[in-house]
Amino acid sequence: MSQPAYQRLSDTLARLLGLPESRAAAYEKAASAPSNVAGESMPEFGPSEVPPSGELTHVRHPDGRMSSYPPPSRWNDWVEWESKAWPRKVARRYTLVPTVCFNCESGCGLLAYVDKTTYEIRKFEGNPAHPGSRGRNCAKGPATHNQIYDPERILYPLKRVGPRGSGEWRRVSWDEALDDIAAKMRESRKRSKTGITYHVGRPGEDHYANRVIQAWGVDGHNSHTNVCSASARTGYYLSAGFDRPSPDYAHAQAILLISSHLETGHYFNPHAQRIMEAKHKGAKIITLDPRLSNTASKSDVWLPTWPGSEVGVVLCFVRHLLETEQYNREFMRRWVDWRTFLSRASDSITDPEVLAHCGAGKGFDDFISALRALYRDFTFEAVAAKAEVPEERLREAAEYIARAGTRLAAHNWRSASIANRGGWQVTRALSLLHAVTGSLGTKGGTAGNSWNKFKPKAWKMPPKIDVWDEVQLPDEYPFAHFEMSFLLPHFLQEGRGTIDVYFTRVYNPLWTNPDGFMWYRMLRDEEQIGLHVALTPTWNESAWFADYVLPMGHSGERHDFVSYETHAGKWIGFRQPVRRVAMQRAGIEVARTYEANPGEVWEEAEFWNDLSWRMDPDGEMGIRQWFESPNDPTRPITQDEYWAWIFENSVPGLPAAAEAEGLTPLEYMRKYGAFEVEKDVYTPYEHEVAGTIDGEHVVDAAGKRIGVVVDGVARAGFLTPSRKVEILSTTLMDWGWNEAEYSVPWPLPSHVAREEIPFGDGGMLLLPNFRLPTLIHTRSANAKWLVEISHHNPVWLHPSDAKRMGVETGDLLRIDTEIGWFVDRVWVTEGIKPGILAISHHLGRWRLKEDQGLNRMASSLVELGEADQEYTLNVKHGAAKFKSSDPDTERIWWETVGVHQNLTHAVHPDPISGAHCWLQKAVRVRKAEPNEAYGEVHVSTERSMEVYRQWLSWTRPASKFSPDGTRRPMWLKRPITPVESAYKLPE
Amino acid sequence: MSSDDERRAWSRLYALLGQALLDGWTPDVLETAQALPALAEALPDLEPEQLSARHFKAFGTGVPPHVSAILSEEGVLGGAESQAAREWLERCGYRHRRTDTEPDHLGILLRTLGFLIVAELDATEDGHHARAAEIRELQRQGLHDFVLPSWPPIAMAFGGGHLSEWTAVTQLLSGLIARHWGWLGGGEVAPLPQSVDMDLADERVGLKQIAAWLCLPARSGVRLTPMDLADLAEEVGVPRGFGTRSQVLENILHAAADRQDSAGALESLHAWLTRWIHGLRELEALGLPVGGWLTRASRAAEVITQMQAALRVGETEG
Repeated sequence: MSQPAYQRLSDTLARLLGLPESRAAAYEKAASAPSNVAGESMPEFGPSEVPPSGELTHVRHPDGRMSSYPPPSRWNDWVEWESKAWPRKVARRYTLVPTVCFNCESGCGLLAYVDKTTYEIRKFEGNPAHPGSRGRNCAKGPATHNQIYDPERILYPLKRVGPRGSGEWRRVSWDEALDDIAAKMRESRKRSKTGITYHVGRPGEDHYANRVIQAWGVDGHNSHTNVCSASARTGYYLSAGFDRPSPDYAHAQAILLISSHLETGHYFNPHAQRIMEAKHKGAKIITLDPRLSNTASKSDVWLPTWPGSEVGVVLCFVRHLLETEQYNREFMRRWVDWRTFLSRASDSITDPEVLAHCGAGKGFDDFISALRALYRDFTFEAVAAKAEVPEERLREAAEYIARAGTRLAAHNWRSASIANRGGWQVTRALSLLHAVTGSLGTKGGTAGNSWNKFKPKAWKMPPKIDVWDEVQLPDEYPFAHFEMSFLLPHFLQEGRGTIDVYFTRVYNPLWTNPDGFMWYRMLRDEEQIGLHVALTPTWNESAWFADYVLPMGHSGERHDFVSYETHAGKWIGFRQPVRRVAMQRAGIEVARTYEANPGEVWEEAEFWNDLSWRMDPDGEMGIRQWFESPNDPTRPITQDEYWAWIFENSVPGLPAAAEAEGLTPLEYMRKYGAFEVEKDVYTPYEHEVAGTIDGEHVVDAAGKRIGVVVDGVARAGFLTPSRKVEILSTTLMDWGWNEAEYSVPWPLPSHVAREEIPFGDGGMLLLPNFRLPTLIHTRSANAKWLVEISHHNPVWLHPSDAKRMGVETGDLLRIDTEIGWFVDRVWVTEGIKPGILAISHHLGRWRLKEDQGLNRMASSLVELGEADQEYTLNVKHGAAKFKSSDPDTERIWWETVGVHQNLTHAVHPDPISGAHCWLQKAVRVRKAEPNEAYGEVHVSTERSMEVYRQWLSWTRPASKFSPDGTRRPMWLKRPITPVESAYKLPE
Repeated sequence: MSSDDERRAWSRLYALLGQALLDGWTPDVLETAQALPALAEALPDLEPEQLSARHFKAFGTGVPPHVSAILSEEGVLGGAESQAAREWLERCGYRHRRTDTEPDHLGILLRTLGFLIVAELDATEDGHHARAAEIRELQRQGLHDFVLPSWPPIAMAFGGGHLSEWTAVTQLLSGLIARHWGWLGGGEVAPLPQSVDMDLADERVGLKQIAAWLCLPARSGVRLTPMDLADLAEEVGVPRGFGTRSQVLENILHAAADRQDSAGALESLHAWLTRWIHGLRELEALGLPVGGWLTRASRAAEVITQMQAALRVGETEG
């Protein structure tokens, strides 16, 4: 080597040693004092004078994977190397605080690594003590860190100062916001019990908010359920008295998924890991989905059914089991209400071949014969033709199900049930299949959600509300599960009511719901919505039209009690504000969570207490009493007081477990963040009960049915009126849905059945609601890792359709719906059934101001236009690099952020379940013209109202069909159940 | 600088320059490079976009920095070399997940060597001597099987100074790889794969076949970049046309023949080959094993010499 070259290399090496590693430099620094930098800079961490804590606990998961965790005994003081300072060895000292993820409904456990010097959060990892997630998370859990240190997050309460939607805001104190909002609520509440509405997108907690609403005495709960799970809930509830399935995947032998459940579905992470566990043990997975999802690709049988044909597919499995004598005779005999079927079938069913087996004097074998007759036409051949799938695949799936028997785990949540008119029959058919296989609540079978979800008894529960708000649950929808949330603007447009104070909480209806321009109109109308308070962790399109935007915390910034049905057991999780808990562990006093959270971000639990207190400061309205501290009634109850009571009095087994560790129940939950209440919960309907025998049933002292006599033994049974599985729904029959296609599991004609689509005129079916595993509705736009992975939603188009239209991947496509049109790019793929367009949910976010309103990495700057009832959205530009407190915002490399298709979706309220039937008729699909730009949207709200009225006309209102003068069958659930007298229809 | 410190510095230089090879002058890389005179002086004062274009010119159209592209008989990406690199990375604890490049990209391999150097130091410091020896062996395998056999044509390709920053980078890397190899004990490297020789006596061989042979490094031992071909065309005073490198070389030879200047073209080509051979000897003097490349490049020069001789005979007889 020449001397100069040698010298150059030596100099370079020497200089390199003197330079900090550029990426690692920030992580080598050592901060020396507490800080609160979220939104202003990236966090820094303190030094550790002690070396790393040592060995991790290694866990081998049931599906063979391995993970390592700090042992809980060291959580309070954990030292480890700073990974990003590598190759330097820099030790950091943390206190590990468990909390619960809030990025979807699974409630997975998280472990926050809170620095012991700065109290900044270094990262979120899995909580191994959590029984549902078992230490594992999907991408959304760790991305909580992005959300906390999002440079564009809302850190302080904001009050509108210009016209609604003008984007002019003033920072206000929490005191000012509380006083103003409380005064308006007090005024409203004194006038009426229907003027305040709490509209929740993702509850993420159990009981706290509902208790608050009940304390206010208003019928003010509204939800997102009707754009989510209403249809599935209706079918399950009418059949077996539970409104969600809870499959025991881990022990299943056949797993039937009517969705992309393994990949993205409800309770994604806890379920997916258990599905894989079963697959490792040999379980067969059967998936119905017209799209080749990742779930479909992992399945043993993929059935790309034409939407609306799913009920028929399930019924052909039922028929096969009945015809081949592979049904579970004993379960059917004991737990299906076959006597009512035989006695009342003739009130609904007209088929003489069925009725030949029904009537007086008939027995169980006649019932089986009647079922065989009822479903005789659902042959593999006929169903394969209708569903457009190979017959042999149906046979194969049916045999897997037959072999599984009581170990059939099935799930449907949204997908086909929420997609089609009459989709609630999907879960009616699934319930029948579970009955025929005897797989309800069994090991490896499918339980009801309430059997695996723990509901605590609330502290000092206020009395039931004594009012019924027709704007929430109107006359037309006595079976809706639940409030007709997505029709709120249509109702107000029709003059059905107004709202004085409207809280939206983690709810972005303008963007998420169909027909968003109707929400745009409503949210701007100060006569329809008197005061709009948006409680949100991040900006969203709807919050832009609020009067107050109040920053509420992410998962590591709030208290909540959570429990979900993830497997055959019951657990509770405790969401905690991790900085506050870490400070309190260090002896720092924190009176309100916003003192510890970033900026002045608060949490609802404390906010509700203070707000309710100020609504009724002297107690004259009877509201304050529910929020007074048990130790000092002159002040609101604290979070410690509330949760200490719950954990001491409401969770069986927890006090004993805590005592064994020398902790109070609250300390135990603050330490572990979760507790397993019950393991291996199977067939609870078999539990014996004590009560008075009243014919076939068991009643309590008040005469309420609490069980059923089976073979001479009083057992708990199901929560249906008969306490058994109801194949024939007499409730539907009695409320005007008397035809057999409603009263028994039966395929109803979907609004997007093949014959409904105008194929000859360029029409197609638009499937607009599949999820991506890396995003969650509209809440993940502030998570940079997630947005970098997924940021656009092209149109999936089969090559045969692409060829017909003369388009290729990347071309622009114009899609006309019933009420408008939009333009999106094409992705040509064989992963979608011909004739169907598929576009994922989540993407196409927008903002109206360059530097405010929504995260710039995830939204387009747009312009909204309005003329009469015609609305337009035009994209000015997409994502772009920008300077902020996070250097990553200068590394944004993508531009397109998707298209807001939901604006062009007409509302399709199913006449029974009330669910919005998501599938859309694309009435015309063609290559875009040169003047039609990516992301462009046009909508006619006049047309929106026409479609709404058409669907409304198919309902059978309670006022005309109620058999007993009530608004709704009393045995069906409501989130906040009123007193019985409130059910009475007005004279 | 202690031996350990020096090796930490090697690790950093591998990481920095490997990253530069892989993704170009990203903000992080540029910031560090500008603090190092050897690189700062060579870096042209250009906008990031222009630097990216030069990175593409260097490795997108110039020399593909992949072991497979250099060593495979057909000069294509992927295949056995790529699979072997993937397996070596996995032995080092990496799973190659990038979809935009193959695992045998030298940037990836160099960064991995950087990682292994520090991992070995850490293992030694923590008293895990057996593990340290394993990691040292992994370094040796990485250099022996992948980096050393494929490095000479890449180092040589930037000797012309067309892209000053990449000349500086490859010079630093040549020195670094040589030191690292020497520290590991040195020695010979994996021989170049068997390759097809050029037989000018074969009547099927014309300018097309000669151009194609010269443009495949595994056969001719040289890598003619588009920049080299542009220089050659300019020197000979003929248009080079369009197409693949072998098409362009064929164009040049044809155009020279049309203009009765084949002798000039062959002379220029021979001079280029002579410079290449000289450059290889300099690398050899650094401590880099270049034996196989030297043999093949010498053979290429010999082929040109034979052509020159045949041309002279033709002229005499004509």
